[in-house]
Amino acid sequence: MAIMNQEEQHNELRKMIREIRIESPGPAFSHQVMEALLAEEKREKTAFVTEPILGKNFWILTLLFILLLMIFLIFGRTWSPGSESAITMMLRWITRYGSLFFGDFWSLFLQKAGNIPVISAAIFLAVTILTLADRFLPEKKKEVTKMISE
Amino acid sequence: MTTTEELQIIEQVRQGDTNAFGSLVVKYQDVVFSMALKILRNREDAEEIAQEAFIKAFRSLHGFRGDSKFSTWLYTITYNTCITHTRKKKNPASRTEEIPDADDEAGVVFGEFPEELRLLQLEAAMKQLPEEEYMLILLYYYDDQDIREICRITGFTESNVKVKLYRARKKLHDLMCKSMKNETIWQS
Repeated sequence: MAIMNQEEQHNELRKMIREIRIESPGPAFSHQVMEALLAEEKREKTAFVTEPILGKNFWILTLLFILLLMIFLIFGRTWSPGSESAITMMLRWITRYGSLFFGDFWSLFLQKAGNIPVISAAIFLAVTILTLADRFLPEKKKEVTKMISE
Repeated sequence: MTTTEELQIIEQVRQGDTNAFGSLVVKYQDVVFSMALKILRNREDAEEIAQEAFIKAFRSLHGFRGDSKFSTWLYTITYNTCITHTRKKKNPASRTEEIPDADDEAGVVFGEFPEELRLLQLEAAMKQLPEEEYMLILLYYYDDQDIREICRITGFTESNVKVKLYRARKKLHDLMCKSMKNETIWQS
């Protein structure tokens, strides 16, 4: 037998090895892989991102509410029938400058609002804030479309 | 399927046609599975890991830059997934019986075996090779990966791959010789 060079030996072995049968997975393998991929893709497209029940907006509004309540409590103490309360003073100030921007209707509205007692104003404000906050509370989950990531 | 066709399929998959990935799965499932089976030595585990490798490849397909063959890239993922799985199980694949190296390369001639038995003997010998050597033979001869590509897949150095490949070839030859001797004894 003629001595084969290394390249010929490689080629001979390559030819032989390509003729043998190598191990194969079960017949359903490719189908299972594709099913897994499609299921994953579907899941990723409608992924839900959980958000905290009390979101950032809620805390901002609560903070504002507390701040306003503190203003009312601190300045409201000096209020007695006949004397001018802090809210009346504030509203008067706003009315003065507000009328410059929004006209008579707005200043009239503020003048009327200035006559509301402090406690009633606080309750009214609290209800308004809580109603607003309530709009954000049900948004616990947010649907997002996610790109397939590495 | 040519490399250009593969790149077209990859582009299709990237653009959202998931089903196009199926043709790549069909094309490479045997080599991927064979690699996994040799390392894990269990068909169920091998199927699971092969599937995981394809899913990983699909997920990171947008990161495939095409500076290597898709097969090289896929086999790298497969090899790493298998190794990670083996380490997790803390059950390193038991090696097959070590076969002493043959003396010289000149004796490694596969044409000397009778043609009718050659393929059967080769198939049997392949199964007896340790996983590293089996993988090198599979990648180099069966799948036509070159030395550099094998380095990429396995993480071995170029010289290491060459030495291991040479040893693997000799072992394969010795196993076939041994098998032929047994055949001769049995026949006489």
